[in-house]
Amino acid sequence: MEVTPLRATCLSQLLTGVTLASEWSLFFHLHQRFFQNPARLPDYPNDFAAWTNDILGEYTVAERLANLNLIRSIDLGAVRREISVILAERLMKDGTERHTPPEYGFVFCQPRLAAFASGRLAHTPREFVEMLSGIDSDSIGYHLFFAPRVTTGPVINDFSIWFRQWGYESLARQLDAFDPYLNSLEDTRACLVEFIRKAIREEKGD
Amino acid sequence: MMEKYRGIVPDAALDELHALSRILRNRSLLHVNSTRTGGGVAEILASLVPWTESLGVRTRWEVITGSPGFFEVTKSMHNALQGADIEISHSELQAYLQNLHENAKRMDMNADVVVIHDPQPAYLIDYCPVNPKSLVWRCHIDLSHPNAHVWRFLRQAVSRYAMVVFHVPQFAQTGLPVPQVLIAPSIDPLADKNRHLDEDEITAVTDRFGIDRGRPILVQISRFDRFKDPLGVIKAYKQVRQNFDCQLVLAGGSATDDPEGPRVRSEVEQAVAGDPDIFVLSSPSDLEVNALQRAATVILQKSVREGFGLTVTEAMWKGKPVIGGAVGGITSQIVHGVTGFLVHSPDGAAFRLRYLLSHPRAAGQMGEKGREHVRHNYLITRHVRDYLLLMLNILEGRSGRPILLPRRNGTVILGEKPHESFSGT
Repeated sequence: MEVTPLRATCLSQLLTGVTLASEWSLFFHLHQRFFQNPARLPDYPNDFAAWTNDILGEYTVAERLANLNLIRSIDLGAVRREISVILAERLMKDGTERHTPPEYGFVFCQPRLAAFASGRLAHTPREFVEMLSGIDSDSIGYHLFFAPRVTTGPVINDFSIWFRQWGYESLARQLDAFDPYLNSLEDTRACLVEFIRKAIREEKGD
Repeated sequence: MMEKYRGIVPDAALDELHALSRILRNRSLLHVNSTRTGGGVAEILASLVPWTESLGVRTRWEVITGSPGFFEVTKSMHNALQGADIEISHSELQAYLQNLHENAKRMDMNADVVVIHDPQPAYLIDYCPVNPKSLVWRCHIDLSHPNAHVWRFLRQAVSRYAMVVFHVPQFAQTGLPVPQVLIAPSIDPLADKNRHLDEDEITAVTDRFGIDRGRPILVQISRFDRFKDPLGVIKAYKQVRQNFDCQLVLAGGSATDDPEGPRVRSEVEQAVAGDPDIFVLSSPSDLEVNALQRAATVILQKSVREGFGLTVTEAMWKGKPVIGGAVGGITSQIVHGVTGFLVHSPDGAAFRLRYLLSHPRAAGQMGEKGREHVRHNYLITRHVRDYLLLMLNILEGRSGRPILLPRRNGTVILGEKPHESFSGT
């Protein structure tokens, strides 16, 4: 992870930072908390919400930032606008704002990404679900958070594309509707495994 | 090496190391720091060097030497960079530079990537015949409030490195003309300090020191350093002692680059004032530290400045709730209210201690969550991976583009995963 020159010690500076930060910086701050502890859904799912709550005590703004509908906003430019509107509305409503000392400031970072191939290749839905049960939780995060934002077109997630190719249309729709931003990565794994196993059973008429 | 860690660290971490080792095999890596024993940096390097070596990266570790006077100056620099109001004279700085010049003459600095750790050897960049593009400055200290005068001096050297590495974003410096990246430190779960111990082994150690395992034990493991606030810990303990029949263990080692330790220890002994339930232990072995941490009811790291605080990581790995000062790298480790508590004062520490001693079940749950937090973020395998990715970045001169590791089997359907090259997930 690389530190950028952008910092904020108050809401107006956070707005400036969000306006100027790269899309990958926004992506990083919107997702890193899911990877830090895969078994626990953080109180606030992204860094912007956590910082405004914990450091600035801006509880309403924090709740609005936590409520960003990221599963429906693959375009990071649109997410940037949504965050900016939340911050701007608060600043327009009440021009006063709290400042925090620099050591508690928000430092914009951006990832230096490295993609590791696990070498695990699923040839059938049954193989897929077995691998999904055991694979590292970071991989699940990759396919649900990262992949949809680097592929073009109306893609929701890698998993639904693959199952759609196999003719599991109903399962693919269920996977598209699943919101990983409301679950820890381990909870997400458990839900997906359950969906897929059920679909396989029904396909076989068990 | 890898097989010893299987089942302890996530499997994916080992797969990633395997992939990186295929690319970096036979490349060379040199670490330079100021002490081979004592303190977090030496401890990390003692694990890191054999690890990268085992992956086929030719790795060396050089240590600068110097007179006691040299280390007095570097300790002053260290303190000043962490915010202390200290003047360092021009002649002291000249003596510091001269000492590094002498070190550079005797050291073989040739390697594909050279990592210089902390301020003490930072000015080696002036004297070593190595391409600056292969040099990385790795800062392990809390640079959030540096003394402006001393930082101005150090900055001239740091600005010429290819890259600078910090523990947490708050230490990064505005205006540095080089990329600043983040890599969190780590602990080695198989080292004597962290490996599993049987109850008998733990009791043998507490018995040796006369510590009663039948009563709550509060432990702070730290060098005797004012930034670790041992006097604040004693103050908190004395408040808690009014309600709980507990004991306090303050155990600290020493380092060859820290001449201030004996003075601080003497202040601690004065504050203890003969309390038989406070144990001030000098230079316990790694195994003894392990046993003391495992015997603890609550572990403290009440620092007022802290680069990272590996003792926090160690404590969480042992499933203990941790009370830490809300400074530096401690804030990135303790999830407040989940794995422990962040505090700002001795009163804050006393309040949280009283809570944890009154709620053993909650304390146990915090400890379990802390252990999982460490497993995913702060074990040595993640650290080795980050160093190898750092090497890859330096060698290939990459600038933010994703690094794609070779695939084994053509199209990958499951299993690609992102990692920030320079930090834990």
